[in-house]
Amino acid sequence: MMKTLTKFKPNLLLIFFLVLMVIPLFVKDQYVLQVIIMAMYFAYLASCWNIVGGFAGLFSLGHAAFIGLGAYGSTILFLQYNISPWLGMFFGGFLAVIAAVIIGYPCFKLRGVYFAISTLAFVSILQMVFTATRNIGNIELGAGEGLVIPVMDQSFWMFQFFDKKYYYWIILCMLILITVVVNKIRHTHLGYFLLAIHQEQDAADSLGVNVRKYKLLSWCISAFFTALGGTFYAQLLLIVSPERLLSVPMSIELVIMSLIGGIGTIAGPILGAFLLVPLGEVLRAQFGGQFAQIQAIVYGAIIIAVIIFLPTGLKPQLEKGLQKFMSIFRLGLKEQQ
Amino acid sequence: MLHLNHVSKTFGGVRAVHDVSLSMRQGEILSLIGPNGAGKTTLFNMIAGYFNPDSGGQIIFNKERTDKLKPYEMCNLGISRTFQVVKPFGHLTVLENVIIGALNRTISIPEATQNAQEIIESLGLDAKQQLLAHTLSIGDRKRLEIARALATKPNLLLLDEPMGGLNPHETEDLINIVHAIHAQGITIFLIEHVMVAVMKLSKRVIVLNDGEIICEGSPEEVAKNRDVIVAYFGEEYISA
Repeated sequence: MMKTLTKFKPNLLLIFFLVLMVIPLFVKDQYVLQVIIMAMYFAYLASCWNIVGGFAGLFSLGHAAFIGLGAYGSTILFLQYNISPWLGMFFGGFLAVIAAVIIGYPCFKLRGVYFAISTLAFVSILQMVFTATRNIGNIELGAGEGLVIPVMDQSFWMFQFFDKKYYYWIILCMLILITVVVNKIRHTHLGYFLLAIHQEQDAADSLGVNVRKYKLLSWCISAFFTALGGTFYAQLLLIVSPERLLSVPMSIELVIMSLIGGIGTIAGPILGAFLLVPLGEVLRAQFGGQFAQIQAIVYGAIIIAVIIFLPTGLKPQLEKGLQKFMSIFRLGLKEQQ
Repeated sequence: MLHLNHVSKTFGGVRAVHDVSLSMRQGEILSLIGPNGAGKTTLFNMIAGYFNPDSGGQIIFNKERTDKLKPYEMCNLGISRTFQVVKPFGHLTVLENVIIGALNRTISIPEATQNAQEIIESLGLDAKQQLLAHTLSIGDRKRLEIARALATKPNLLLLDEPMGGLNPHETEDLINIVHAIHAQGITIFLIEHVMVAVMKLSKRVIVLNDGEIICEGSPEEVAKNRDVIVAYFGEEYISA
């Protein structure tokens, strides 16, 4: 038993997911569940972003475009053709992949800040187009007001539930899925190539890595899964609008969460989301009204502090701390043996 | 094995390489020397696919025309290179760096890992395989660069100033490594300023100056050639 304990390496992420799984069995407060849902939602989106931003070094500030395309895609199919959002989300994903190819192909010639600016332009243009367009032929887009999804009877097939716990478990499954996908990517040749491209693109090219192909592949994978998150968001809030979904601030939040949690790591975006989303809620609850902007000030202060003192993010530092704790723990156990 | 026919490269008004023709035989070590700015690295970059030659120039590798191919395509054909300023994947370990090279020939991570470990061991880096590449000394980074290139299983290895920045002991070690690589049957094309290495490694040397070949021959012949001496030291040296 002692020997097993000295070799024990806790898979904290697995434990974390198991804890999340059982929370709704004990917590019935809909507000608390909503906060955790939003934390998981942003953890999911930040993990999607991390595939390109963290692994491939494609610093995208335009990922909200894929969220919006996913949301609009599934919602239009639902409202106009009565197609289940479960099927519509794949259509939204497909739209996002098309957009990813269209924007990615020319923009991959740009590097660093220039690439980021091009993605920023992409989402901004998309927002303007959707805001100004009421319909394209028979397809209703709703212009600035967006599209409202009518409340229906609770139905799994129609992706509508009265109890938040069902949305909770759906987004938890999506978060677990994207974590498995990201982990798989990291430990296959795709992950190695993306990290190589991120760190030294010319060297990667010289070692036989088709840089453009792998950038595009990771970009499309990220866009597809991000779009699925857009469908979830649409079904959770029952409204899709350009201001809410095709927003630059939304894109930037994903980047911040990954940076703070630990860019390029598997758990980092999850950690970042679970720190910032509840913090945002607490700040809004405490200081909303008179000091409504204090959330932005605190956010900014945290970002500055992390960049200065923990440039690799929270996850690597927590990991170091845990390793130190475990080595002390194992030393104590060995001495007892 | 490698043929360059009337290869030129101009950047704006600057003529970097002009009408260079040369051939390499399978299994030889060919050195390319010349003063700074002679066009050596530009020539390497054209062979490796980073630049395409200006129109009219041809590069033929193993009977295949390659002057329009990209670097990753050249690597797949069997040409691998190192860089004058080393480019390690700094936040990956030594082993992971070499695995990336090995993944050029297999998508299996375990197989690539095994291949990488063998190469790391042959280059004397096995004690450092778990270190992050950015923590290595310049000598070890040069070895890592070569290990990574070797992992792609090249037929032709382009070494761009591998001895640059090394002390005499490290230079001697690297010379032995290059000999060992050559003994495996890999053809080597070497750019170098360190003449000790050129003399010890090559049977044939080509000298480039102002983008043109000014001399070709054995190291001893080249060392005595008037045009080569003028290129390096100037006309005044000869007059003196």
